[in-house]
Amino acid sequence: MKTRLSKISVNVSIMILIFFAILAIFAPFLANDKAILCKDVDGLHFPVVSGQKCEQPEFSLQPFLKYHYSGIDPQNAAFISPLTDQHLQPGQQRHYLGTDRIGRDVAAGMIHASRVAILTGTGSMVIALLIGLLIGLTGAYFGNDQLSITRRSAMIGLLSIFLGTFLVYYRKYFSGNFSQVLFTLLIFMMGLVLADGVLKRLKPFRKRFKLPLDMMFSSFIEIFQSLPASFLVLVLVSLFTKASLYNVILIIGLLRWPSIARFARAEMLKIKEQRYIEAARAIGMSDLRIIVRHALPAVMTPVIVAVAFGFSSSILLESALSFLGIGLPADHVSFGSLLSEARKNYEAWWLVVFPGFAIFCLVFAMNTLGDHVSRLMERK
Amino acid sequence: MSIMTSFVLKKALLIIPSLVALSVIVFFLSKIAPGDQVQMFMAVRGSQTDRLSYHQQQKVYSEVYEELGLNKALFYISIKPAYFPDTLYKVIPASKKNVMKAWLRHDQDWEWIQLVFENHEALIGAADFFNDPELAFILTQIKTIHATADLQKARQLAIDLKNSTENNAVNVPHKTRELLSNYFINFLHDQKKTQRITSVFPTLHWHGLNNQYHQWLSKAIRLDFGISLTDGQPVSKKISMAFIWTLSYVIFAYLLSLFLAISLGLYTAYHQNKWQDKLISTSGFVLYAVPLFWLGTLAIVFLTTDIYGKWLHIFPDIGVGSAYESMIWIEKLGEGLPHLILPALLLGMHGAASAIRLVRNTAIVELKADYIVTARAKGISESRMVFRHLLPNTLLPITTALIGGFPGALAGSVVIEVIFNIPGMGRLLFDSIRQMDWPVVFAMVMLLGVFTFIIYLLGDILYARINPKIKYQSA
Repeated sequence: MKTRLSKISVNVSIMILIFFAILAIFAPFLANDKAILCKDVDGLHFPVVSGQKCEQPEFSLQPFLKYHYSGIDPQNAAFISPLTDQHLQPGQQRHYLGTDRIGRDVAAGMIHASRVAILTGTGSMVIALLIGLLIGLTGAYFGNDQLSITRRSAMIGLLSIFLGTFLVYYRKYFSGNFSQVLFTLLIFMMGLVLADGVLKRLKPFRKRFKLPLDMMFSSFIEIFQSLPASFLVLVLVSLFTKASLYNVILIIGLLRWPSIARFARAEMLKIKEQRYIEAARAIGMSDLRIIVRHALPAVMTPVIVAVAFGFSSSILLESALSFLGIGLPADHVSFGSLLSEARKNYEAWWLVVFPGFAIFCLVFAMNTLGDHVSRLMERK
Repeated sequence: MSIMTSFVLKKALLIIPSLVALSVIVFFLSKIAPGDQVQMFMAVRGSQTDRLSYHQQQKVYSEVYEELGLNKALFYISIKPAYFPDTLYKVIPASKKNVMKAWLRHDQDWEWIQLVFENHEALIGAADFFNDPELAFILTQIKTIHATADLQKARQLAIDLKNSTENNAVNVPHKTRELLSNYFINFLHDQKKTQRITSVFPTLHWHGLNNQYHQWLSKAIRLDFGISLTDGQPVSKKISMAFIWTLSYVIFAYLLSLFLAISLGLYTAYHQNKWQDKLISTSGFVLYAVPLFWLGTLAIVFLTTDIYGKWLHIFPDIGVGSAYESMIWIEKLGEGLPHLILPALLLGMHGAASAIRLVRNTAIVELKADYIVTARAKGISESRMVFRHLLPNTLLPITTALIGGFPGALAGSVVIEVIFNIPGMGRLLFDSIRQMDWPVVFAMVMLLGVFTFIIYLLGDILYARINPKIKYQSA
């Protein structure tokens, strides 16, 4: 579709994303009950950053919205509509988007929620990218018969993974005593070196075998893709004793990598056959260098599509979680938690419309961009 | 053996290790879940423990603990540092175990810890026996010591306590005086224990079949997942009733989304880049970006209440009507069915939004294939071409993707069920998570996992059956 409509929608999407990015980055400076810049008896200072009070200022620079997202306005509690008369004291700012049950400003909540949404999308996609690229690229690059290792190194590798896991799992039981930690490490290392030396001399362990890396990784991808992700996120997030946004980001990232890995793998399989990779190999470039310097940039285009869709789906997941109130702290404010307030009072349409529309805009913009990139690729 | 049979067998054999891995993962996840299961179990049983003495409370607690099998080893084997006792799992309750672990971490001397705790128990027994106020007072302080995970702090507390008892010449029964002094001697005994290098080496312990995982699995195979910690009902009974609710609307939603996706997907592909395509594709794309819970909330606020006009009040209120406990499930279902129409419609439409694109993109590729050109050249009717040639060839590559949506749907859409107050699987999961009713949660995870594997196996078999490339591939 090379229509004007699609051009417009792409431009609008970019603007929406920039808008939300600005809200996310400058959230504390846009909506806060403290002044940004203040000049009073203490001199010039920044209350937003330092948390100082600003009383009887000679000069002060106030944020756009004078409400903090968690600040409670008891005068305007119990769902005050943005359109009705609000109980305002002289000089007090209106609640432009109304208030919720306990009198928090919805507009300030929305600005903070944009920050939460962008943080969730970015954080979980960074994790998903790291895992997805690692698994997708190495699996496709080495295929099923490119990576051959000796039985000795396989044994030593497994042994070191075991010892490493053991040490990490029981780290608390060694940490009381620093010399013991060092000593244990040293002993384990020596054991590995010794085992390596012994295995080197044994003939059966000198044999090489081919590691079917691609088969292993692609079945791994398949299994993870078949998992019902939203169900699992819900369960896994609730297992943490302390609810926090970072757990949610981590869990979403750990479950959202398969699509990235699949795109990366498919593209890598195409690239592998190209001349320039062959040439790089011929001049003796290391595999790592070929993957990072030559394959990675070429793979990024299709991966961007997966990242864009993954970004929006993790925003959707996080807002669904906070809508349900699971896995996130009780005072957490995001689009989902704002929306869930509306369930306590159906007449509060502003709590249904604004946050929902904000999620929709973000998700729609991201999807449009992803779609646009994939169309560009097809045309090529 | 035909290719077909071996293909199915291969897939079926792969499922067994996957199921074992799944059960191990689910089991260990259930072990890290927060909350004290024993306490919840006691509460659900209605055991009154407030009036009992500390000692009796401990006794009731350990009985339940043993009944739940929590004093057994976790798994068939365990790997621990050599200085670690292999009987630590028998210690009851968990709080005591944690303190012991923390002290072990600090001192690595299991024998000493055992001795001190034995002395502690003896003192508690004596205090219960003599019922002496002064001893009871000292004991409360000793209990604090034994609840302090930081060993250095615990030692300091013990020293303080010892000094104060000596200085004040407390008057405790003669027989317990010896116990007390023994306790202090043992606790503050400062031995220089030489730590051997080998004490940190990993050692393997074999616990045999009498372990928690084995117990859990052998029950789970018979669909016995224990009882719910909120109302004491069997977990399987709770899940089966919820499953019926979910199934009753999810089947409808799933079929609706399949129908919409396939018909609209083919239609848009056929009219590619015409206005029909643009309209449907764009609205599908827009709907795809709408969060389900927003859609649900909007629908409830506008369509099931009178608030925004009577003419908009099309659907019945949320919930599933007045279903009584005494009704059998089919009656309950009949009562609730009208309330399930709106959620099913929403779910079906939302599911279709993403699937339309999939069908459309595949169909566009197929439309350019040679067999379509040939069929048209031979002059068959367009409708015959679409239904006999295009439809099967479009569905073939996306069979797994379309079927794969089903297990997820059976888990119930949590948000839809929570919003519409339907007592289905998603709602059950939501409630159980909030109330830390872990037996229910992990039974659901396990069942859903098994179900996902089976559905995918069926999908693969179906794919192999309808795909001529596999069917006619002779050896």
